[in-house]
Amino acid sequence: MSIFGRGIRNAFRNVTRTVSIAAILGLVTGLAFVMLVAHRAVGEKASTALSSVGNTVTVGPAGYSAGGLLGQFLTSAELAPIARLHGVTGVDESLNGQLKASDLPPSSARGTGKGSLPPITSKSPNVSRSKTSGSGSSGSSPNELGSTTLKYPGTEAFATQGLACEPQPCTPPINYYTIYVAGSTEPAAAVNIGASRLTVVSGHAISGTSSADDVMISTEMAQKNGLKVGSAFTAYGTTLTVAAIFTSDTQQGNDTVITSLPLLQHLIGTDDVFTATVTASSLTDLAKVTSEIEHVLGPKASVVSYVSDAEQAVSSLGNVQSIALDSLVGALVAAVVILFLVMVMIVRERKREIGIQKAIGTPNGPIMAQFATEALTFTLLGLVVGAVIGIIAASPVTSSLVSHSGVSSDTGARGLFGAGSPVLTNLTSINAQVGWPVIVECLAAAVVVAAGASAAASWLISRVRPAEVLRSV
Amino acid sequence: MLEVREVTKSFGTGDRTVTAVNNVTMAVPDGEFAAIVGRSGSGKSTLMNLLGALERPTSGMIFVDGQDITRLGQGELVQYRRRSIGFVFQSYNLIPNLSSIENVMLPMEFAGVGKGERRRRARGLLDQVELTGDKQHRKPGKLSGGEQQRVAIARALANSPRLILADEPVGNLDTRTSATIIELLRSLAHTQGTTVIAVTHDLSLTDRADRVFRLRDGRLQAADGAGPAPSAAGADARERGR
Repeated sequence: MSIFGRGIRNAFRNVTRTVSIAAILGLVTGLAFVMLVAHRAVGEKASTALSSVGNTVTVGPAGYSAGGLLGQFLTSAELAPIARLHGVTGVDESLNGQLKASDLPPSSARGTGKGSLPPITSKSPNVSRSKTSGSGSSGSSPNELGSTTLKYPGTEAFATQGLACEPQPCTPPINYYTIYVAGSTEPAAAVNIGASRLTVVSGHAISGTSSADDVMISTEMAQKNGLKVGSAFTAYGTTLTVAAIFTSDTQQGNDTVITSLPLLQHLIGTDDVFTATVTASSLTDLAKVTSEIEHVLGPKASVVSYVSDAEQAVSSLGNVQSIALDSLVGALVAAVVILFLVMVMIVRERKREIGIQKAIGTPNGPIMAQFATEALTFTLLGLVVGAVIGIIAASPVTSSLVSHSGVSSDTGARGLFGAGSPVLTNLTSINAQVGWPVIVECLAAAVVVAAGASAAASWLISRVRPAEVLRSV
Repeated sequence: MLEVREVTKSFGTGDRTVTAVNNVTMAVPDGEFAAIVGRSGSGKSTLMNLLGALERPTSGMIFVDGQDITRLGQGELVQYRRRSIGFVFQSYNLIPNLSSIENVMLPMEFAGVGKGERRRRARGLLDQVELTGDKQHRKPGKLSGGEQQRVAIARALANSPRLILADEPVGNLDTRTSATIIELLRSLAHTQGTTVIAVTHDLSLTDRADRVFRLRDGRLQAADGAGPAPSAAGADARERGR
């Protein structure tokens, strides 16, 4: 029988004691397991929440962040210095317009509140450019629908879904068959059409800085209107060419004609920009970039970033992480102390055996290895028990920690128009599952715990003098 | 040949020094069955520990086959104990969690003997001390005192040592079993050339010893050549065993 075999066999020499040790270590390891899972899960959630916010800030006209419009629209010329700021890697300027579809719905369906609006997201607001905005721009304003030969791409079933609007009929009357126009310097960016995904399926994406009369339309719109790449249609009195056909994951996206910013500005007859999405080189640069943009544009602009709100929202998660980490360290220390005391007790109990082994010529090393194996066996037994506890308890304990930490289920930034940020909702919904990385980390910790406890045992073993032990026999 | 020259061992106990072994000089030829007798506290066990390299003398030299073991380093002492010494204790001191055969195999593990060879030799040694059958696979707790002492003797012989040191080897045994164990040790000395030194109070053992050393207050009083001189055959057998 090898050293390791003897170590493992010795671990089961006294079954009652072994079960007791495994149970105690299992409880402590279980706590460590749960806290490790909680720490990782909460950390991942916080990281995901922060990274979901992205390293971007949105620049709009004054009052934009509060859901209103207190000043003039910004212009491309005014936004130009932003691109030159240190830490800014990109500026996506956008402007929105609306088109009246050629096939209006039956009059009975219009303005009765029986239909539904295409979803409008904060990133692509259907903002009225009222006379009180003080805009000095000339030409038609975006809220005055342009005309087009396009048919509305939505389905009848979509148009007849319920509408949450009180009191009914909705005031002002809602036009269900509006086609949106989004002009931006980054036409392929899904965010400009209120979508999270935009895929060009035919043709080539248009350039955001080109003034050519090229547009991108959705597959739905192309099918409804019998258009394909190279086809033409009329809008704002101009013949536009379909350069690309795309798919998106929202109805609003599919209801949108995408143009370059210069083209839409030309069609509407303005040099205004409604919003600009500024990308910072990193999340850590975001606060500085935000501050510099505010400094450059002054009070005429509203600069919106979710990051500070996100950081505030996830700070409670940070507290949970700290608690989990402290508890994890505490549990590991407790495991080392427990195993240390167990091994000290065992070594003292087997002092005579150690003396005999030394007397018959066994070097210190193999004896230490034998006891270290025994300690590792105890630890692994505790780990098995702890893993079972961890698998059962990780999720409920994590949820409990999070729910008692002040994190709200709908915590998040107010966002645009007072709405909660979609990326910061459901912060309490944390997936605390025991995965292989956790198990591997626990195994590594078990080895460290066993090594720590064995070190004490080894020191005691090295001090056993066979002559003294045998003299006392 | 075991030769002890002017060996002294002193211990500091508080503010005074106790000399357990005082200027002892003795010699035991190969293949001899010798006994060390003396009252409790006379220094017998300390002398045994010195011979077994479990302790270093305060002064003096101990030669085993011409090698002064008092000059060996710590690692060399462990190796010396493993290869040259076999211990037999009054209370057997077997590892309780190991079977008889595993106890015998244990000293061979660190002497570079392969696992199969260890098992084969251990079985042979247990057969030699007449512990056969399933008793070889029993744990010490399931064996009688005499059987345990046989296992201890087999373990002591595991690495074919030059010297077997037995501390009260029959102290816990009944008269009949004692006689068997004494004959076994005597036989080992005379047939295999292994030098056997036993510390004892037992007259039946001293009567069968080739040579008896009497210790009193750490000093060697007398060395009686009570038994026959070591046989040449025993020395030859030992040589063959190496």
